[in-house]
Amino acid sequence: MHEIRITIGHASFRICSAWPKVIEQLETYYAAYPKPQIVDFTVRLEAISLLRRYIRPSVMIDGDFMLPEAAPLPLEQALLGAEMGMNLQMALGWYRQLILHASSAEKDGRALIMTGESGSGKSTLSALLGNRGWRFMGDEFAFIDLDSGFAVPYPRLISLKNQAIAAMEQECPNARFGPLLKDTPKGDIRHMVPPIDAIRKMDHSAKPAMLLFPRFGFDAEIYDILPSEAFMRLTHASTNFVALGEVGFNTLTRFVCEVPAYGINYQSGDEAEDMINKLWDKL
Amino acid sequence: MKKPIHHKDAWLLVDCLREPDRALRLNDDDWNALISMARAEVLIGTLAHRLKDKKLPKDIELNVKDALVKAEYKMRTAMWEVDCARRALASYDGPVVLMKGSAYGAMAIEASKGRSIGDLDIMVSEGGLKQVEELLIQAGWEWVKEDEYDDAYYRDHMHELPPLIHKDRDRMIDVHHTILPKTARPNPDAKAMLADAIQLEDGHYVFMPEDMICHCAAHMMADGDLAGGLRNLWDMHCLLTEFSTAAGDFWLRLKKRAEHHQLWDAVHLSARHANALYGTKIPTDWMLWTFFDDWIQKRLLARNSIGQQTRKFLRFGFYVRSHWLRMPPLMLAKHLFIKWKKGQKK
Amino acid sequence: MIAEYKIRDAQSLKFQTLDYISLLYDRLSGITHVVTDPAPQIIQVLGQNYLSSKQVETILQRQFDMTADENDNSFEDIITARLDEFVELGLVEKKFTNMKSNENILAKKDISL
Repeated sequence: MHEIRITIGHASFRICSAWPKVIEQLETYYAAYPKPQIVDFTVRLEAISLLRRYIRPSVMIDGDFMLPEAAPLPLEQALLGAEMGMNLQMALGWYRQLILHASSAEKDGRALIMTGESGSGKSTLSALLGNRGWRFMGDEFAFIDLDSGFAVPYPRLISLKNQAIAAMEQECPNARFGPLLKDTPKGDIRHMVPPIDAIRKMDHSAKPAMLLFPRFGFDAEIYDILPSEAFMRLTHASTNFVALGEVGFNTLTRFVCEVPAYGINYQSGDEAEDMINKLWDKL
Repeated sequence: MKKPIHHKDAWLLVDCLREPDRALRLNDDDWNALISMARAEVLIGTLAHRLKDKKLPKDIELNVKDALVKAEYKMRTAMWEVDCARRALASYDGPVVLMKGSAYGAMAIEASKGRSIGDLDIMVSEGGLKQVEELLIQAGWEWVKEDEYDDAYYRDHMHELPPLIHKDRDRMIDVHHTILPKTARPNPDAKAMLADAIQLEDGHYVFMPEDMICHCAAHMMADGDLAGGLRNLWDMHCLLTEFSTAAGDFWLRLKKRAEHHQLWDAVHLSARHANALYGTKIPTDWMLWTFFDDWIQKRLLARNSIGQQTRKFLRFGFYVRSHWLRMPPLMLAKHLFIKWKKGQKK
Repeated sequence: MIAEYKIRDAQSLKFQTLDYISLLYDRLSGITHVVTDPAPQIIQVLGQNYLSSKQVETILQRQFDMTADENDNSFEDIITARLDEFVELGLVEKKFTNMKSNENILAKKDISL
């Protein structure tokens, strides 16, 4: 068994695999991340059987916490397997902060949180802002501290999907990209190493200043979102709100009462950036 | 980057559950192994409960806290389902007996500390099944979609109604009328278990201590393939330790009761394995150990440093054995054949 | 015989109002209920003593100046419907009694207002 240990934000992982090249690949892309001794979670990228380790190799995603129905991936998509395995550990085992399925970025010490369904563009926007003067904090999860209410970063490899791949290749030609993964269960995927300052400041939390619900592909519009609507939508975007009980209730109600929320519809990254800057300047 | 798998079995986990102070001397790799093993065996909440007041490394302390939060959530949810069932079944005359984790939680005994609780299991008399089913459906529980064969199979051969799920809370309830399938070879006296059940303050019943131990043993040895065996055995350890302090000759009463239920082999086996792994105090003449026990213990401990199950062939042997115990051979063949045909259609 | 209601455990409930809805967190179940008027007010006037929906209506009218909307349902019917929902959710307990004892409680409640 081969393994790598990495720290992403406050969380740390041990990723084990029978294939050395899977671990080598992770070492390449996670090179700038701290390497801890004690980890929070173990993820295993295993062969379905000894035979399938060599013939049409498929990766089973396994780990401390797992779902019984998880489908195996082709070996070439091991990077996606590691991503999914780490997501699962956070979703099923992390209760130190309120988990929001959201991207985030920081400017002037304050955090912008973006959430929405897949295809809303929240991941791409966080990556884009990370290249335009903001600090990228995370493209998948934003954690809300249960005491301070601060947003805690989780700057893992950015997982670009479909049209976002070409857009970000153009936006950040010097960034380090992973292999293009065609026809994964989530469409085409290409990973991108976040900007180095995002990794260096991975444990710098920031006070949330704005909650945004972006929607890609609609005519440009900015609209207010009431705390009640933000609350209802964030309960669906949180994997541990119910499990955290009263603490989770307090944290989320405080968040929606203190943080102004807006919806934006947009057709391009430039358009979204303009709207975000306009809203940000009025804070 | 290549790390040897330095623990090839789960003794580390068992040792730390038995003597939590041992964990204080672990190195970083041991800690990683311990946490992975405990999660894989769904004993992380129990381990966290055993470790929570110790001086732990910072990173471990945070994981222990996470496990306690999750266990508290599971317990809160499970006890709320118990409460919902109590309200739904308020007009039912007979006793409603809570089983396994829900019973331990309702009694707040040691076995419940940090324990993960899944579905709600209750037992009522066979004659009361129909009324209980109707009352639950009135209160919002629904059939999980099943085809006719599965439904008939449950009703004819199993010891429970087909599972019901609550439409709003999405939680499952299993209603039993005995503790083992009708087809299983041990044939416990369900009537006696119901008759001797003890009523709790909220109105629900739990089995009396000897029956609770018999059920735990039956569940461990006959109703499963020993998957999750370390967790079942921890239940057994806690139950034996807590109930054996009772006045009179507890061990003699337990043996007699187990024999009455045809579960002495299961109780005896669980007790000596709990003793061997967790140091449960049992009478000396219960400690008899055969070569088959070595294999059972190997199966129970089949878990390595990174949380993987080991000993595949041994596991398969136990799986066949568990199906064998549940059904007479001809019926097993029929069952597997129908399952196979259904697989073909898909 | 009329139905009477009381809060199951007032200590287990926590309110948070957000613009046009109220959230009701139940510590016993860990469930967050989303409610709208007059449900939060009903919970607030119900105490550990049993009250009928008629009595709840009287107090609501006095304390919150609340009455029915312009639809056909009487205010008391709305209150009864909400109370029965709370019973189903395990937040409120219900029992049936005769009229006499109610009047006493109502009298006491009036004094305390």
